[in-house]
Amino acid sequence: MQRAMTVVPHLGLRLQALPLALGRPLSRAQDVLRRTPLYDFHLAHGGKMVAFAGWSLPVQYRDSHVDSHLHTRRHCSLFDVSHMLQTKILGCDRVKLMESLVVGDIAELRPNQGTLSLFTNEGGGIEDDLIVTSTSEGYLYVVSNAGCWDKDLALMQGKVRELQNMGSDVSLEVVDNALLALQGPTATQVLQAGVADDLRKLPFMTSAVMEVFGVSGCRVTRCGYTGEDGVEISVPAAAAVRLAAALLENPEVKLAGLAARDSLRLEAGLCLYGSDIDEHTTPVEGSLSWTLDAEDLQQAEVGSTASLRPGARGKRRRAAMDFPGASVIIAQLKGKVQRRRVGLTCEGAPVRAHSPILNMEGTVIGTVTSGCPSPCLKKNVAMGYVPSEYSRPGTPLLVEVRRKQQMAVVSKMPFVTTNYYTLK
Amino acid sequence: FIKSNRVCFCVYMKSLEYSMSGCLGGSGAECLPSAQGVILGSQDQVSHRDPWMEHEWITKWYWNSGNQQFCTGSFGRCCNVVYCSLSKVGTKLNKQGKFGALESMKSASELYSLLSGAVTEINEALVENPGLANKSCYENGWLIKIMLGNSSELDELMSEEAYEKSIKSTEE
Repeated sequence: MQRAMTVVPHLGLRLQALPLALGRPLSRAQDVLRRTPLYDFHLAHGGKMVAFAGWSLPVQYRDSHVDSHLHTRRHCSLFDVSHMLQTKILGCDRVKLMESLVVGDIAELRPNQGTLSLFTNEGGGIEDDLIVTSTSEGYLYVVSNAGCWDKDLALMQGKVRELQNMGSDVSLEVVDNALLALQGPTATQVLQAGVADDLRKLPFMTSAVMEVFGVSGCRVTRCGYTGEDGVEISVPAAAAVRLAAALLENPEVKLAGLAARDSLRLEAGLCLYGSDIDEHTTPVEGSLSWTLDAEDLQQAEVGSTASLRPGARGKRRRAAMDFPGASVIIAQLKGKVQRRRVGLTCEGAPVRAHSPILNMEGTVIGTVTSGCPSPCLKKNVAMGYVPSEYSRPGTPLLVEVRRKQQMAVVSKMPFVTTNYYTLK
Repeated sequence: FIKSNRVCFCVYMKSLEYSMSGCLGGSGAECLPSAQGVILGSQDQVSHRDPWMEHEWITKWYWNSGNQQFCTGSFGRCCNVVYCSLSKVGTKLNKQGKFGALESMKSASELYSLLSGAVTEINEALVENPGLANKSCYENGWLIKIMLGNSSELDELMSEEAYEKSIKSTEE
């Protein structure tokens, strides 16, 4: 009998595609799951808890997965993402530290602007994906994956020590806050009722500290993992439940868990570290070359009229090759890359991770890394790697599900149009 | 009483040896014009609306253990079935033979027959609308109808009470 991967056996629910922590030993006891400040709150609201990256988190609440997913796209949902690692990098040399570890142009970030970036290794592989924000409070605010908690901390702390030993002014602090994501078309309207700042002046990938529903010292960042407009709110742990309850008072808001989080991000074409990208995939293979470039340039390329800031150097990091794995990555940018991450849509049975991808002649050419039925499109969507020659949108391919081959077509991502709030 | 939504086959049996107990021509049940027919219908129809529940020959229920974890227990109401595929009419099934699959957003479960026989009909409405397996698993969400190959296999099936007990022990 086919056995799906069991996340928490005693719950009797087998979740095939929910990602587990990467198979590295944790520094804490494996059988003790960490809890966020909202643990009891989740239970009180009917949350079904599962183990994820060493944490106990809700996979869903009383609503079905599909209902929760659709509610997020039509109204808004509140996700507890406190499991993610939040750090501050302080000191005059904080940008130098960050740029020694990531591919992105951190120096060119405007005050309170953030960007998606990647920690890379000497082989050009991706160690983690993360959001780095250059705050006007004098530190870099970094959010990275729970599954890479120990690895990322060791990486950053190691580099801090190395630079300090050379006389640099840099230090690191772990931010012991909860992190709440409010995502959906009505998220901003809900939040606006509880903040004095005009959220029309907080565009996508910018951040500000403000009082939220009476809780002071919250960092609000206009970003998320759903493709919708929304924010992530870093809130002092002691006030997390109070803030979550305040947000939930608005009937627009419903709690959502890991299940909806995964299907939403897939529709939005966003990678899941450990599934779609890992230490063996380079940014070029992962179709993430744009992370090498300045945020302003990225915005210009996606059609925003915000022009490159005078003096901004756009592709500085490519030219300087001053990040881990640069020689491998730049070689791939200039020459050929063997394989690329693509989007796939298919009819028939849902396509999931590890399904083989074949060309029309029936030869296996790649593998699916993520997939699920899309509640919005009513088709199956997936991501996988194929050789570059098969990566053009529109290319017909086959995917094998339960020993049968089904038609699939390479598709542009995002599969569902995103609604990021950019200033036009 | 309310049952949690479970995907199942509910087995009624009509065979020559039992036909003396009564005819199944009533609402929701079908008579197959053959010596040994296995009919799928709803438990509600049998136990609550169907006057033949008391009859001894409607005693066997069984649950596809592949679906046991899929839709039962506290996740029962929340595990949307989003995809259903079923073997073609005429497919010969052995005991444990695969006759299709049900999938949720996150997991896939192949369907294994606990009886041998041939598929005589499949629920096209369910293939079109997989959500029926959640909304109405005892009525409109039936899976397949099979012609029994060996009616003695019915004796090997668990009664519903025994099944309930076995789920409770795995949920602990």
